[in-house]
Amino acid sequence: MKAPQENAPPRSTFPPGPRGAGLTRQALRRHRWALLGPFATQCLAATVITAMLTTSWSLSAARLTPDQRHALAATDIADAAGVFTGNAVYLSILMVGVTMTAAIARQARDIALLRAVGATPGQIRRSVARQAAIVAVPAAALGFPLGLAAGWAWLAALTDHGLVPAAVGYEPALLALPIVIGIEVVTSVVGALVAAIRPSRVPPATAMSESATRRPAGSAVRTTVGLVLLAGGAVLSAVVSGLAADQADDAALFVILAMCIGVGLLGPVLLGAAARLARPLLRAAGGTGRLAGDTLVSQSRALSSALIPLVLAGSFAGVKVASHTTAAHVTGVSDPAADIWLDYAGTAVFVAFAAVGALNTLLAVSVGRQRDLALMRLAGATRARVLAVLTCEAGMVLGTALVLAAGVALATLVPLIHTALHTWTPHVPPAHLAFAVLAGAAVVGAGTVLPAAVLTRRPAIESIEGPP
Amino acid sequence: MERAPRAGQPGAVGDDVLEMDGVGRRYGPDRGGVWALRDVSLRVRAGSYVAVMGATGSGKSTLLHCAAGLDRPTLGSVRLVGRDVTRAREATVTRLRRDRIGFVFQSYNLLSELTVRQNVLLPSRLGGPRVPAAQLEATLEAVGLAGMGRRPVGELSGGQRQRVAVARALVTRPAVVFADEPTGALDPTTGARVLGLLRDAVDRDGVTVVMVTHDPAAARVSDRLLLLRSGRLVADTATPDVAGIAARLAAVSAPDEAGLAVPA
Repeated sequence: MKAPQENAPPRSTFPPGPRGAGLTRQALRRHRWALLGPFATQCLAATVITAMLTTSWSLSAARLTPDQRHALAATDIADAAGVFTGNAVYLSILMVGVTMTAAIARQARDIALLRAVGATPGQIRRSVARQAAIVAVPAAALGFPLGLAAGWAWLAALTDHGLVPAAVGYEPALLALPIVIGIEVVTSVVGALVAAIRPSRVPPATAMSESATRRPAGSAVRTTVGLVLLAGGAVLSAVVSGLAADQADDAALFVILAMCIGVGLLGPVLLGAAARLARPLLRAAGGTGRLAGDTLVSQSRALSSALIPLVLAGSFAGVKVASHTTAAHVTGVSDPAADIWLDYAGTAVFVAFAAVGALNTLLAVSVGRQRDLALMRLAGATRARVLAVLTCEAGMVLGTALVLAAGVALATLVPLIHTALHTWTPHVPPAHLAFAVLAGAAVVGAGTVLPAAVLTRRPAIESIEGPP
Repeated sequence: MERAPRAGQPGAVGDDVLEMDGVGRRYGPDRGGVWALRDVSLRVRAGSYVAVMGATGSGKSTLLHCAAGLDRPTLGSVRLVGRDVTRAREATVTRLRRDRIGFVFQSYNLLSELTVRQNVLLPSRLGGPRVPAAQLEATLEAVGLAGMGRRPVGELSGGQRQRVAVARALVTRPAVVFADEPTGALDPTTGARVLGLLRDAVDRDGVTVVMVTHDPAAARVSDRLLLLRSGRLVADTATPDVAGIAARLAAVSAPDEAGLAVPA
């Protein structure tokens, strides 16, 4: 049979700009709020990369005496800048991926329609990548001046801590702008392409039929891969305990990453289990509690993308802080203040990324549930009741995230401190733990209860009668 | 470009453009899942207008999705315009839909932020058959939207939107148009107009239409009536008058005592 499309003149299947499939334009207009997540992530990454690039350049351009130069080389500053930049790059890929997943979920209907009328999975993936790249340019441009300010502050702080001689002046370099935009476009495209793999392959019929849009909580493949990652993290952690302290520290990050992604994949199963475990407690809260338990199970797949950044932030910060506090507790001697400060600054950047990712994912889920909330109110729930259900749900998400973060942190930390300090029990001051719980509650609350409070201000019927 | 089906090419009038053999579709897990479609075999000749009816949950949308290559059956095989769409690669099936098939759904037919023209040209812009400007204008005129090409579809009424969807389905001169409750969200007058457009495409251009509907008046425009009950094809006849359709639909919609729990 003659395939007609092969005889036709060559067709451009990937035309740049507005002549594309139309999905990019549709998404940028209709779902622009959903793209706020990737935007915030890219902006943060651009800020960190700009700050690190400009301070590194300032350091190397400074006129210093050979002694000062030698002293500077002996510190970890140059290494730290490299590590921060590297972290910003891979966190940008990971978090753009996570936030784009939420943005793509809002476009499920548009994607199904385009797939039905002839868009290949590759065309959908390219459109999603294009959206991320288009958003990356203004995000990086906004992050650049913020990064200049952060770079100036960073250098001042380094000087204050005596890590850098006072002779070094901050030099904002405009050359960093194209580099930062370039890095952000590339990392966003990579993150978006990975995020688009599965949604681009969903059979159009599945996404189109109203009732079949909810998939079962945990597929066998997803659960298996999640378990393998968790087991791999545990094995790596055991291996790490036999390594020298330096190497152990480097490997710890991979333990955390593997376990966090594993936790994310097992998210639906874990949240379901949390709802079951909390059932006696929920029953005490009456109808509100039962409703919260049911909705947690039904939303578990969407919410589990928020578990990855929450657990990542919690466990990473936990490992960093606890390794210092345990060392001080066991040996009675604190690390040098400048070292601790440098380590905590890096942790703060890491946690900021994860918090932005978690917040955006939760916001996207909350906005996507607008109709559900309106239906609850039309069925007779007061606004206070709706918010009580959501608070209950947020509490369960926070509890699950904290328990998992503590688990991952312990699995990573215990071998580390055993190698370095020959003890099995980490020590963390209660004030630090309380701060972690409050910070987690602030992120989860701001991503769930706060948007619901705003969205339920208008009459429920308006939320039901959305555009077609 | 000549795109209308010719003799000797798949899709020519008189050929079978759709062949389903022993098609079953199960949703859910391997054990305990639900069979939405069971052992359906049928052939559709090019240039005919087929209506598929049945009660809610009888499997009519599933039948349409499997026939159109939007979903993969669990059992059996589907040949569409001469291509086996059950085993072909996803990209191959997608290109077949883009180049030879048109779709009209009940709702969510259009990208709301694009214009009429951009929506109608979607398959073409995705790499499908090129549509000359004159052909686009002729199609828009045929559906009563002449001169409205640059209007954003967000501004249109429900009936106008559905006519945009019909224009998109027909503009590439497809071999088969699949329509899932195309008049479900429209009033009877507006609905009749949309059905008339599909009927014209069959009579004038030799297009094949497979349409799912629950409305006997809508089904009346077809040549052939298929009735489903609990996922099985239970009747396949020439389309009777509206009263006849309603009576047959009522008969297959009656509570089903025997068949529900029986696996395919």
